[in-house]
Amino acid sequence: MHDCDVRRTQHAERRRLEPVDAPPAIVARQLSKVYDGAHHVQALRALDIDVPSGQRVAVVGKSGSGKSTLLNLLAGLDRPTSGELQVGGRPLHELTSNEMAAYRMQTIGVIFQAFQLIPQRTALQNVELPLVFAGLPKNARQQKAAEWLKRVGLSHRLDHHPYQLSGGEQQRVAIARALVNEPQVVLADEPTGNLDSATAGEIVELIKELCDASGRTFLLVTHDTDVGHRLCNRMLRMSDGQLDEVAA
Amino acid sequence: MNMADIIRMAVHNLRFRKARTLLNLLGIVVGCIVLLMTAAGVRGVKEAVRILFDSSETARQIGLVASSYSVVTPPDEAMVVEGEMSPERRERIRQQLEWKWQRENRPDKRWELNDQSITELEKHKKIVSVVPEISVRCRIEVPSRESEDFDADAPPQSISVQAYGADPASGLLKGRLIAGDTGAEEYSEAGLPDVLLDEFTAYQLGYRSDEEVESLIGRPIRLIYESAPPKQRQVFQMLTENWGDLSTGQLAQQAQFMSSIATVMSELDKTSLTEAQKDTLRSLFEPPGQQLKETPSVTLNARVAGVLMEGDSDGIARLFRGHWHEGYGNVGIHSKLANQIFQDVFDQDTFHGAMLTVNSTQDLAEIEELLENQGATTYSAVRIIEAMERSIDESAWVVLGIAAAILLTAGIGISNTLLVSVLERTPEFGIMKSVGATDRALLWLMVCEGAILGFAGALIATLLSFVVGWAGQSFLQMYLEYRLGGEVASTLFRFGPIPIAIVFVVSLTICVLASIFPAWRAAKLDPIVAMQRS
Ligand SMILES: Nc1ncnc2c1ncn2[C@@H]1O[C@H](COP(=O)(O)OP(=O)(O)OP(=O)(O)O)[C@@H](O)[C@H]1O
Ligand SMILES: [Mg+2]
Repeated sequence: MHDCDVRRTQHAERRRLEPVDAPPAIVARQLSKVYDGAHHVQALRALDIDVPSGQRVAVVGKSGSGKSTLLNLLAGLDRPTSGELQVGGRPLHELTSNEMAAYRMQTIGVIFQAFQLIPQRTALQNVELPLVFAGLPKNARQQKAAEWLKRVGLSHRLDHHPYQLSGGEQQRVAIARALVNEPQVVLADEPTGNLDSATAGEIVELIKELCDASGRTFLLVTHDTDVGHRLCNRMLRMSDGQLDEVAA
Repeated sequence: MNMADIIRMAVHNLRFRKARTLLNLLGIVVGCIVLLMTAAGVRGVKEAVRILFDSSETARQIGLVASSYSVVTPPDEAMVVEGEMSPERRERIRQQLEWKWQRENRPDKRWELNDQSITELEKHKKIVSVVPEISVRCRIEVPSRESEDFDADAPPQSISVQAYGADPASGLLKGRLIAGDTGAEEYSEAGLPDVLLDEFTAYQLGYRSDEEVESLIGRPIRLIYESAPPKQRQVFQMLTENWGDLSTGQLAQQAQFMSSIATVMSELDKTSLTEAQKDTLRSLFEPPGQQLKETPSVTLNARVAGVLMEGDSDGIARLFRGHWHEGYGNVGIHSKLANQIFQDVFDQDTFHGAMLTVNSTQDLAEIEELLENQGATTYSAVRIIEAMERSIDESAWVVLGIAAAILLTAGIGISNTLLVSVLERTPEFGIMKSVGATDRALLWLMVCEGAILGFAGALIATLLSFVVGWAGQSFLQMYLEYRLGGEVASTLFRFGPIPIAIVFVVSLTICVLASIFPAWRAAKLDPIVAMQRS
């Protein structure tokens, strides 16, 4: 089973790497993040990372090591204190707030541990949301959102509100929302952290399936190395704000 | 993100918080209703006052006297006061200079009220009629009660009266009729002219009971005018120059005065006057080629058309022009005929005054100004109407102030609720930002929520105002019909497009202003912090 997975992954990778000079999806140089509030915390220390387009990377590490901090920077939700960060060819450290919003809308999709669905909106409306900001007409939006919900196996739950869905179903909605814009890079922060192990397994399978099918660059942040292994073909360990390659 | 989506999202958010949205709307709606109803009420009351005034012919009349010179403002250089003096004294001297200049620079000719200027005035499309005031002392005769017509055997009854030119088309006369009618509206030279008597004249002639008054209608009547030749009148006018302007009603006195003078002149030698005094009188009253003679008399045969009650019993009439108008007199003949007699018998071609009727009270001010500029002194209800409208406006401002206070409070309430809503929806805004919402999109979203509240508030308020206005009107109608048994002519609340537009603008402005701070808070949220709140 495990072997089979690896083979499939490798196959997918080969197919995707065919244009050999594909630009790296993520490049960080001397990336630092300092939280300077009441307490001074250096969450990232001169971190370097290169993720080629289409690669699936897991960042593992202890709690408080800075994994989420890195992911937030990549997601364009926060800005580095110093250093350079490029995602999909965009220099995030230089973008204006509007460009950053556009970047979040076009280039990336994020899956959060806590799902982050809007409770007053149905599954369909939640998935539709990125397309609203993309300015797509309503019909096209709904069609696309419904399509994605079907792909995550929720075609029978379009009009359900988040509170009417199980944890696993909510995360499926979140996954559909992350992918509905067909982003270059998909980020996930502990996507199974709020789920029981059986459901977590299903979600891992779903993400894997979708990643395989699309060949998108994928960066996963987790403390669970097992999940990391199952989803990704490269693993990095975060410790004390810095990354080290983990041998396969 | 396009506007339609923002609006859709804003509506969605408002609908999701129904109770809060409704409470917010309530504040706005109450404020807007007060605002709109005040505006509509003020308009309705003003309109009602107008209708009330317009329905009274007197209120549409301008009494005019052609007595003053047109006022010309002196040039600045004529009013320079030289020398050092206190400002008060300077002002007094300046006033004197102005008057002096005006005396010295009087136009050669006064504006005269004559046939020509009346025709001119009547051409104005806002002027309905101009009736010159002609009121002349004369004697009337009616056949004795027993005879059908004047006959030599039975001496007629006769009294001295004031005869005036009346306009049979005037609604004022119709209201005063107690018997007969107002006579032919057009004056024709053929046939007997119609005459209107007042009830007291009829009484004095012996027609006292209702039946007797009724029997007077259609009976023949004679008006006998007496006057002096024009030259003598000039002397008389010279003598009475200081008495002020002669009212035409006093012209008859000239005749009496002149005949007294004629008597004195013919028996001058019998008096104990000195020769010098006699010479002075001769030079005055016996101009070369002008012999004093008996006053001529003109007799007008007519028939009684109607009997009128006292003229100024109309309260509004007294209110508006009682200070000028002395009342028409006792015997009315068609103003065209009166005019003709006035000119033929008295050789007079200018009138002392006239009564001018305009289309609507709204035209009063304009026409009055026109007349004043020509050199007439005018009297009308315009100042009373203006004062009334002013006091209506003043009380409206107070109510509008209350409406503003309500709206302001509602605005603060909305600001507060939207702020709470932003705090409550913090995670939602964080999520929206994380999937690509720009700061501006969130800003617009919140402002749009405010705007929708404002718009919906104004819309609901407008519709409710119509309902309240309609209900108020129906109630009033019912009440008045029950109480007075009459119809209500005017509308209590008049909703105009401008007040409605203002209500929408005010409501939208307040709500948008109220939403700006909460919107800014939403736009500036840190998405990470915001999402952690969930
Ligand atoms: N907003 C903040 N202000 C100050 N310090 C912060 C802030 N966010 C994170 N930190 C600190 O930065 C460090 C890294 O935090 P981060 O959330 O990236 O850890 P993590 O690796 O994701 O941990 P976990 O596995 O528990 O999620 C921690 O020591 C944390 O206390
Ligand atoms: Mg974390």
